Amino acid sequence: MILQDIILLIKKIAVGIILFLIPLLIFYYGLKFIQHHS
Amino acid sequence: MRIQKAMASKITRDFIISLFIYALPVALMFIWIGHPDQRVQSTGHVPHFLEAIFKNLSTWGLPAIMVGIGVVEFAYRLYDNKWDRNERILDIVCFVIPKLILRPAITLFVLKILPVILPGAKNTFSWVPFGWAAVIVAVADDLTQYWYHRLHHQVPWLWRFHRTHHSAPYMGMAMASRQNVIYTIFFSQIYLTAALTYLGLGYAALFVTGIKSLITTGAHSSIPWDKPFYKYKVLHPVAWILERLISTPATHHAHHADTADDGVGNYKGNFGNMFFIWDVIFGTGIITRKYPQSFGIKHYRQEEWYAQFIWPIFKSKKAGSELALHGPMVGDELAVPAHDDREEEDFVELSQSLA
Repeated sequence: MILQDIILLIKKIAVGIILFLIPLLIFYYGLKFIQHHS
Repeated sequence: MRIQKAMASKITRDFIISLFIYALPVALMFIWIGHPDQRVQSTGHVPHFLEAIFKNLSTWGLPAIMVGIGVVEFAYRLYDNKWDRNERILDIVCFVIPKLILRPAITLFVLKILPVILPGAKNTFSWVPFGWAAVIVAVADDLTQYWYHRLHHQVPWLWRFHRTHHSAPYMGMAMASRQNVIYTIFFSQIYLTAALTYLGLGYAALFVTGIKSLITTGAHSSIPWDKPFYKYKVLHPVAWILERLISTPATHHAHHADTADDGVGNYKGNFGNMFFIWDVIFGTGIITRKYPQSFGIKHYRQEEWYAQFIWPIFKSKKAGSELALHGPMVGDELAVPAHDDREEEDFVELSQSLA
């Protein structure tokens, strides 16, 4: 592995985290909203 | 750089649309629950025997089904004698090793990481009715996988993490798990579904992930279970719905084709896994009822199984390979349509500038 590969892996993991976090936040706060307003 | 800009703007536009799609089941549930008659105490359960089936599916059942399908495919020589030693080792390693790594990784994630990022939230949403929970998990899991998959095709520097899934010159149940291990370990939707399970939607997740696994295995298998739906006229309305809703062998085999010149292959689209509807919504799908003549990637160099499995930690020794040290980022056959010279020039320019 060279430095370029490590940077590539970090970028790839960042993409994975973004794809995990965005929908999670939508569902979490959406369901929290329903919990408090119904 | 034209492709990059056009692609980037399409990805951005489609991702913004996706935010609304993610929010849709929650919004619809809010409207439904807001009605006094629909307030429910029970979250609902499915019959006990079904629950037992899906519990077994999530443990030993699915691997057993996959092995069974593999035996049938092998017995009927559906691998077309292309399953040589290197491919065999790669398929078996990809089938076995991630199963040994992923479960501890997810367990660690649920037990150690989720309590930190979502403190005190365990089972917070266990009140969500089963039907709504199933819709939420299905959208969360499959739309996220659509994006994970699509980005690995459309973002040049991500392609090599997904290349192993497309390198085989045959189709079969083994394709469902044939992935570079780093692609598999960082599957966003696995951790998203684990988080939703932690939040209380685990019962629905058990069923959704079971059904999803059956659909994706069936879509990769060389057993064309969808053919009767195209053959018999009485089944055509069902076929029309099926091929738009879920991934069929025909539409997913088209995604694995090595060329688009036959009018059947669509390796630059048909990204859906359980649902094909995402491809319909975002215009990335081509619905076909024919099967491609050949599969894989034109620039495949039969790279060593270990390089395909764990690149970039291990590199290929094959000169000019995408997986070799200082190899090209994207082989031009996969990303460039032969009929569009202008796009080809732009793509070469883009690849060179990124390399």
